Amino acid sequence: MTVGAGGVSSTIAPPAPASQPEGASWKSSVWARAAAVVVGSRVVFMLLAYAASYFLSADTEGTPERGPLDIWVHWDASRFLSIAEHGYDGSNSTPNGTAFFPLFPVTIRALTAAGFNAVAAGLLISAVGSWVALAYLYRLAESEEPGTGRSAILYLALWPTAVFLIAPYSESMFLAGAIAAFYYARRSSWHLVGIPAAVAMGSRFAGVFLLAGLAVEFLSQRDFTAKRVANAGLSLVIGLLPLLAYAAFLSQIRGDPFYFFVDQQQGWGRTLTDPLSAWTTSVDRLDLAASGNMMAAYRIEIAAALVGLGLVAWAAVRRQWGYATYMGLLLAALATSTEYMSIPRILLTCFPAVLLIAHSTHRNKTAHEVYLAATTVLMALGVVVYTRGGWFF
Amino acid sequence: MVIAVVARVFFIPIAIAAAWLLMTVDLGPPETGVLDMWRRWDAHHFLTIAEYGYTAPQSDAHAAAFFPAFPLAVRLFIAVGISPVLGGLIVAALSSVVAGYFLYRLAASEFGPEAGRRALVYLALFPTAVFLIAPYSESLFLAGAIAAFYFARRSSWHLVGFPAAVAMGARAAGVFLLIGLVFEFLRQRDFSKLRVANASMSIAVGLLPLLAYGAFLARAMGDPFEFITHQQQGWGRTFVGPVASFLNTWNTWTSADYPTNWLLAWRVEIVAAAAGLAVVVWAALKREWGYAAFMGSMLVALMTSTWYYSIPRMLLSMFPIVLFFSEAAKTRPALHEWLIVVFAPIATLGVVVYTQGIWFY
Repeated sequence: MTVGAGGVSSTIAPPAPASQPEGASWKSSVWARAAAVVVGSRVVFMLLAYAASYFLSADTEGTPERGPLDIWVHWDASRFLSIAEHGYDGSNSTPNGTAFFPLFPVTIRALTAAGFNAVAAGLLISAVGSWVALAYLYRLAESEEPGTGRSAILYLALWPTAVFLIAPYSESMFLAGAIAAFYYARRSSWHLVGIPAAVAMGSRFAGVFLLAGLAVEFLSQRDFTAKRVANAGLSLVIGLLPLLAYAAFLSQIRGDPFYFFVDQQQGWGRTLTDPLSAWTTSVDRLDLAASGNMMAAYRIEIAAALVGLGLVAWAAVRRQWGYATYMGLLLAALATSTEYMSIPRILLTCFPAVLLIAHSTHRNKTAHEVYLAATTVLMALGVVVYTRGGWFF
Repeated sequence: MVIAVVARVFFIPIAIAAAWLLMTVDLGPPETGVLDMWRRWDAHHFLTIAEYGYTAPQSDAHAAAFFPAFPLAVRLFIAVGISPVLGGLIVAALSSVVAGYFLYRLAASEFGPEAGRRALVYLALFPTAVFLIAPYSESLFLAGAIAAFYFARRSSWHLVGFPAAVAMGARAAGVFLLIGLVFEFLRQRDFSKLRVANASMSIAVGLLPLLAYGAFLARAMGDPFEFITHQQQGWGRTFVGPVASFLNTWNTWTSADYPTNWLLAWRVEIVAAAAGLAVVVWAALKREWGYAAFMGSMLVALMTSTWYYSIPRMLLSMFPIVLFFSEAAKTRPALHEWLIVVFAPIATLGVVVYTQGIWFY
């Protein structure tokens, strides 16, 4: 198998990119490793999910109600598929649809036009997005600390909420753009940052926070030659284009360029509030009578918010200002929304987290194994709960 | 030690979290408490035997199928005022620590210290590792079986008897362990008088619990082999040919009146049987006749029973599997990571299904 060559990052350090010519073989092995992880994680978890749909169905007879692909369509996945099928404006389309940015459903639409089944198209796009994201993550991790690439891609592919890298959600497409943008930014190839940043911006509103993080990354590199400033400025403008295009589209169909805020509020009650009252609301609802599923979810939201704060602090302590800004703004937006919602899933897009963790398990095999096992177990739980239709962020 | 603790730190909270997160309809916390969720299936039989004895009306009518060492150990904890479930979880935990200790020593002595750690990880994350946590007799059996093979492999035959007796007292599979140990002795090809005497003595000591249990059953129920009768009456297990057994299991797919979960459960039995056979072949290719005889005789018994039943759980008792994987991963670090990534999700599903009270081997 192709992954066999490199091995555990902590024992055998793959060649550092800096000391290696950008040869075709090194590049292709990165893509092959990322592909092995993408395919392997899907084989394991898609089989697991389908097995769970049998094993946990003790009250029915015969084969499970949903097929092996359909079990991946719940919650926002059905909204993305509805937008892909009916558009934002169709009478059958999901209500409050404009809260979902267009690039992911548009890509599904392109594949269904080519004859693909919509669910399969969504799963395929997530797989390709994950592949690109992991390949760039490998190179990013290796460029920051040689020997950490392998762990970093495993940690992201097996993140506790990595079920959303498999399901038809926009997270993997967003990460493909965000990680590639930061990769080029970190190696000062500012002219290459624009396109991937635009992909991220077109996939999720969080692209705005990515652009802010990239701007701070530029400032923290402290090199303001005219050419660099021009390149970076141009890239940030390109990164903003999808937002402008979407806003133009929304002002045409809804009369308000920022209608996605309206839909966020109408659909999910998300409005801007101060962090203290968001915290209070989130803590107070712990006492509400709710399903066991929601009661557990409320508690995990609070834990996830604290983990997120810890990650931002960690990035700041390591003086990674670009990463700290990106994650900090992302969390600030969530922590000043009416109540905590989906924070565990959003932590998946805080990709610097896996770089930090890979850094700290580097050269410590036991820490690597324990973390790998723990994150895999949590992800398995997420896959089971989500594909069974339980709320899972 | 650390691995046994870490595995529990993972899986006990996961079981609780799953109980909450899978409750999508009913309001409020789950009905089953955090300890009682581990009292399912055979755990319930073991714990009633521990609490009331084999012949009490509370115990299963076919209780004799469960060997006595595990419920007796739980009984000790009940005697000092600990609840049966907690007592069972403690016995399983302590036994796992002992099993893990000897597994580490065994793998480390043959393939180096890193191999010891890897073997521990694979055992703790084994697809059916839920039964190392739950109040089942697997961990006690493994503590005895691994220790017995550890001493046998370093030719300390005089030390084999006591751990073998622990395994024999814990599960009927102790018989297959003794067969494996005999083959291990023959494989070592050193028949000096002292060794023959030590080994035979150890095998005899290993048989004692079976004789004692037989004597007890003869007195309590009038038949020393009542455990075989109970296996048959309680679980429909009788001796049939391997083809009939396979066909009985295979044909479950077409009978529509099975619940959904059982449909896949039978299929996984067949996959597990095939995996078990593959490991026996692997052991034979390595010329590890002791391990091959232990696992082979156990599989033969399982595959000539009326139908395949609980084979995935029985594979957990076949500890040479994790030894072999540990050796294979020595020069293949990626294999090591993939084994973790494949084993851990299945083990998690097992924990969730079992603690939800749904059939899981």
